[in-house]
Amino acid sequence: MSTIRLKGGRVYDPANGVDGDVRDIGMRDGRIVALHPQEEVDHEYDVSGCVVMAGGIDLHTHIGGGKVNLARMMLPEDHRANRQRDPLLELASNGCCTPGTLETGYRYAQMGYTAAFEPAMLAANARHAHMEMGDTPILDHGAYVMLGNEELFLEMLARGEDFERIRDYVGWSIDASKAMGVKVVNPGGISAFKFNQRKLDVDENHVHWQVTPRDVVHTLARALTELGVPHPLHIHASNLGVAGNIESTLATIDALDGLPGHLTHIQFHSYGKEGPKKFSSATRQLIEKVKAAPNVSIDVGQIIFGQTVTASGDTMRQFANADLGSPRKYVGGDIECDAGCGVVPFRYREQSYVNALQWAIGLEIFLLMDDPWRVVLTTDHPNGGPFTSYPHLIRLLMDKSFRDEQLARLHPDVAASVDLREIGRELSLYDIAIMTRAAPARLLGLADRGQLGVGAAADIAVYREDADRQAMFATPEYVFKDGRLVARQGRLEAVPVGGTHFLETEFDPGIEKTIEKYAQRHLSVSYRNAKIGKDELCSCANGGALLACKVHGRRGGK
Amino acid sequence: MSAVQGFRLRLRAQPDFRVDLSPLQPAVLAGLDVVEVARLELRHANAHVELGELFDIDALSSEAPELRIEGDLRRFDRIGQGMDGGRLSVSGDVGDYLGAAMRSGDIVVEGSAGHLAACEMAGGRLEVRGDVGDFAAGALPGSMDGMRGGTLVVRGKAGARCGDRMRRGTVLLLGDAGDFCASRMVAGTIVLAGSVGTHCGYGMRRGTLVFAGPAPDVPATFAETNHDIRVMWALLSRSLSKLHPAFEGLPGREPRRVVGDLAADGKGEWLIAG
Repeated sequence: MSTIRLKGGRVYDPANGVDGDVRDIGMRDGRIVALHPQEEVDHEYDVSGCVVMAGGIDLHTHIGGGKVNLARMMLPEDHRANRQRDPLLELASNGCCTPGTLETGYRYAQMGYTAAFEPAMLAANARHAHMEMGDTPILDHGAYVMLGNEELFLEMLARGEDFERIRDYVGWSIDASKAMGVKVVNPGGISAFKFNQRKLDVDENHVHWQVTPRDVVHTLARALTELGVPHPLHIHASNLGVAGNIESTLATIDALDGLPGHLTHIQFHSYGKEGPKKFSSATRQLIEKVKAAPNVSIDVGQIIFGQTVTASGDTMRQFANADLGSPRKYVGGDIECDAGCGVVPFRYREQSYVNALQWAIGLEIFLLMDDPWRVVLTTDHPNGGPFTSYPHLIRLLMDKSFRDEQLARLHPDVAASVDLREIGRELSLYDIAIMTRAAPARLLGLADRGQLGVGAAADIAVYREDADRQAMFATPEYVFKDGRLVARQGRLEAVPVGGTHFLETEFDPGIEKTIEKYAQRHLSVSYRNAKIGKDELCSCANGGALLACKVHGRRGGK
Repeated sequence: MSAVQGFRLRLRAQPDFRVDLSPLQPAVLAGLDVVEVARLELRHANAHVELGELFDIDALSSEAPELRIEGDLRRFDRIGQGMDGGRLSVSGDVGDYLGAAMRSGDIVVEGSAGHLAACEMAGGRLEVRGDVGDFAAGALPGSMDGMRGGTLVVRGKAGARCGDRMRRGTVLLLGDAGDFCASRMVAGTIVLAGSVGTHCGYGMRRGTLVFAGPAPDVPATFAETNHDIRVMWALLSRSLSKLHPAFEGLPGREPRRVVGDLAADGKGEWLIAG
C-alpha cells in the first residue's frame, strides 16, 4: 500500500489538543501513522501555507429516505440548472437544496467532508434510507432510527410495561434497522396529530395513550444510556418553530433529568414571544440552561437565506406550516403507524422579520455557547439551508465585519435590535475544527474519526490559508478519504464507495415475540422482513465497508 | 459602423452527440463580433464544444438582434430557450425544448421540432412550419404550469399532450393533435384546425378549446350548456380570424359549447364550430 506524507501544514486537531502546530502527517493503508522525517514515501504533498484538519463530519443532514425523494420531486427546478462538472469522474446528478445522491457525495467531498449522518430514518423505511446513502459516493454514512411515536412504543409506555422490555424494544429497533442512534421527533406529537391534536406541550397528555412527551423523552434517553449507545438521544423537541417554544425546549432538557441528550436544530426551538411581533430571540435563556446542563449537546440548524425545502418527520408542525410553502406545495403522510413525514418547500427571506430573526438566533447560539464541544455546525440540510452553504456559515462565524455586512441587509427592525450586533466574538480555526469534526465524532462515539492521531482513519481535509474563510472552506486543496486522494482544488480525483456506521446492541431477544404479535395484527409488512441482516446491509450500502460500532457496555448503570 | 446586430450560422457537420444551444440568444449575441460568437461554449453531451467548431458564422446587416441558423438541427436542443427579444429563424428541423420558457421575441422554424416545444413559454411568438413532438406548450417534467403566455403556431401536427397544464396564451394548431390534447389545462386558448386523438381535455379545469375543423367526439365527462355566447364568440372568432387564413371563416359559423372535464373542476369549454 502507498505511504503519503503531508509536509509542513498547520494542523488543527482538537481531539488531540493540537492547535495550529506546524507538523507532518503520515498515512499508510488508510490510517494515520507516525512517519520518521527521513522515511521514504510514495507521495509527498507540500502543504505549507495550508491548514490541515480531519475530514468534516455532518451529524445531522437529510440525505436518505422517502422524504428526500419527495423533496426532489417537489422542486424539479432545483435540478435543472446544470453545474459545470468534471466529465471524467462525475456522473450526471444535480440539485442544490434537493441534490441527487451522487451530487450529495461529490459536493460534500469537494468541501472536505468525509462523513454524513441521516437523522430521520423510519424503521419501516430503513432499507430505502440505507440504499440511498449507499448510492451516495465517497462519504461514510449512518442513520438514526426514529422512535417515540410508533404505536407499539406508546402502547407499551401507556400500559406501564416493564422498563426493561421497552429498553429491549429500543435495542431491537436499532439492531433491526442498522441504525447509529435514535432520534425522537416531536415526542408523541406525530402520533397525537393522528388523534386530532394540533399541538402537544411537554407536559400535555396524548389524548389517546395518556402519556406525555416528557415520559417519551425520559424513557428513550434512559433506554439508550442503559444500552450503552454512544450517541445521546437525538431530540427534535416539541413545538418546532412556534413563538414561545423556549418553554418546551427548557422543559425537554429537564425531562432528560441529567441523562445524555442531543437537542438538534436548536435554533428552531429557541423562540420567545416578546416584542411587537410576539416573536423574539430566547437565545440567552437557552444558553444559560445548556451551560448548566453538561449532559446536553446541541446542533444549531442555522438558516441560510434563499430557496430550500423543509423535510421533516414532524407531521404536526409541517401541517401547520403547509400554507407558508414557497412554491406552494405540501406533502404529509403517515408511514405504517411508525412515524410521519411532512415536506414543504420554503424560501427564507432577508426582509422577513421572522426569517431574519431566525438567522440571528442561530448565529447567537454559535457565538454565545462557551463550550464548542457541545455545539455542532449544521444547517439541518436542507431544512435551514443546503449543506453547500457551510463555507458561508463558517465565514459568518469567523468574520465579524462580514457578519455585520449581512446583518445590515436584514429586516430593519431585526437589524436594529438583535443581540447579535453586540457580539464581537469571532470563532477560531480551532473552534471550527471542533464544531465540524471533533465534536460530532465524539458525540457519535467514533473513536477513530474526526481526529488526526496515530491510528485514526486517514480522512483529511487540507485547506489553503485564505483570509476569505468562505473561499478557503469551499475549495480545499486536498481531500483524503481513508488515505486516498478524492478531491484536489474542488475537482474529484477518485470516487470510492463510503462505509456504513451502525451499532451492535445487546438486548433480550424475547422482545421479538411482542413485536411479531404486533406486526401480525397491525402492520402490512411481515415482522421477518423488518430486520436488515449484515449481508443485506452490505448490498444496500453498495458493497461499502460495514463499520460496526460497539456499545459502551454501560448496561445496568455506569 | 455600429456593432453587429445579427449573425448567420451554417451547420458544417453533424455533432457526435446532442448539443445544448440555449446560449444562442439573439439579444445577448447582438454587440459581439464574429470571433467572440465563435468562441461561445456549448454543452456537447457531458463535455463542451465551441460554437465555431460546428458552424460557419457570418455577420448579418440587420437593424435588430437576429440569428439565422441553417442546417438540420435535430441534434440541437433548447434552441431559443428562455429567449427574451430578437428574431431567431432555423431553416431545418430542430431538437427538443424549442423556445422553452421564452419570454419575448420571435422564433420561426421551417422544419419540425422535437418534444417539449414552447413548454412553459411565457411570451413572444413561436412558429413551427412542420410538426411538433409531445408536450408542446406543456410543462417541464415536474412543473405545475405549462405555457403561460405568447402565441405558438404549428402548421403541421402535434404529438401527445399538447397544451398539458397550459395556463395562458394561445396555441394555433393547423394539423392534427395527438392523444391527451389539452390535458390538465388550467387556462388559455387552443385553436384546432385538424382532428384530435383520444382523451382530449382529460382533467381539463378551465381554458378554451376551439374546434375549427372536424367536430370531436364529446367525452362523457363533458356536458352541453345552452349559454348565450354570441357576443363572446363574435369577439373571439374575429380575433382568431386575423391570426391565420385557416380561421378566416370562423365568425360566420355558429358554435356548440360543452364544458368539462367535470371530473376535475369542469370549467373548461370546448367551442365546436358548426
